[in-house]
Amino acid sequence: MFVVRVNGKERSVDVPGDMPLLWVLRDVVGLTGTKFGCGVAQCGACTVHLDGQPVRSCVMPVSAIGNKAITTIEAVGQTFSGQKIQQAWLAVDVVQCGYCQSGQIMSAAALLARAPNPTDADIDAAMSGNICRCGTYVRIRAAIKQAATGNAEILQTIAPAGAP
Amino acid sequence: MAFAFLWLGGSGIDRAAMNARRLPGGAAAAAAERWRVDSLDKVKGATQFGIDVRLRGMKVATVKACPAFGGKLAAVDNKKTRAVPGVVDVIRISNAVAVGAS
Repeated sequence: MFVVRVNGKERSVDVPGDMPLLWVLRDVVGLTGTKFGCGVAQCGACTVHLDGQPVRSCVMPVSAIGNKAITTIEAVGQTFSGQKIQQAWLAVDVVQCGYCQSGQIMSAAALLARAPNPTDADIDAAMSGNICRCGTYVRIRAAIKQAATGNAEILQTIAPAGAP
Repeated sequence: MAFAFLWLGGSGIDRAAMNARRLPGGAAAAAAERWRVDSLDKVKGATQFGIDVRLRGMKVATVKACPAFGGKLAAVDNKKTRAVPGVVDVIRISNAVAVGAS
């Protein structure tokens, strides 16, 4: 039996100590916004925050968490940087299929909390562990910058003539 | 015609209200009609993907396919796997093995 603090609430979970946090969140706590991608910390889809630090929950045994505060995509909007990132994500319309985006947003929110005006190098370093098969990387970078500065980033778009 | 246009037609969703959450501005306003309709849920982690579906009594299986293309399953010793708590069945497939568990 473990007690985990998820999005400000304490939850008792009766699971083996080696169960990854991802499955505790998804299958026991019932928060499915955090996604399973690769299971070996190579894709970033399962990223959550432990005391504000981005971690890959698919390789984080529940026994290693202790009293650290867990924040997931469902509650990251209640943090200042998380709210900024989500707003910029909508303004830039980053998302395509969306499967990786919970993890992308969690990594970006942690970056913005640590570096309020991130450089391209900061963004590369913080986001390189989050893979997107749709290839939304250009808009992810633009949205992070927009969240940091408040200024709209200019992006090329392809619009068919006469589209409704 | 965009998918969003068709989808919104019968949904009763107020497109103006949906677009109001976006940033104002010339380029943004011009593009408003083209914005994807499901971004808000996806950004909040609220969208239900296939992996998020939960049905009553549902079990989950993982599949290990033959690593060589065209390979066939020869034999499976399932004794140790069946002994793992929660395992329901070890299913033999022509080129793979699946383990179902609760």
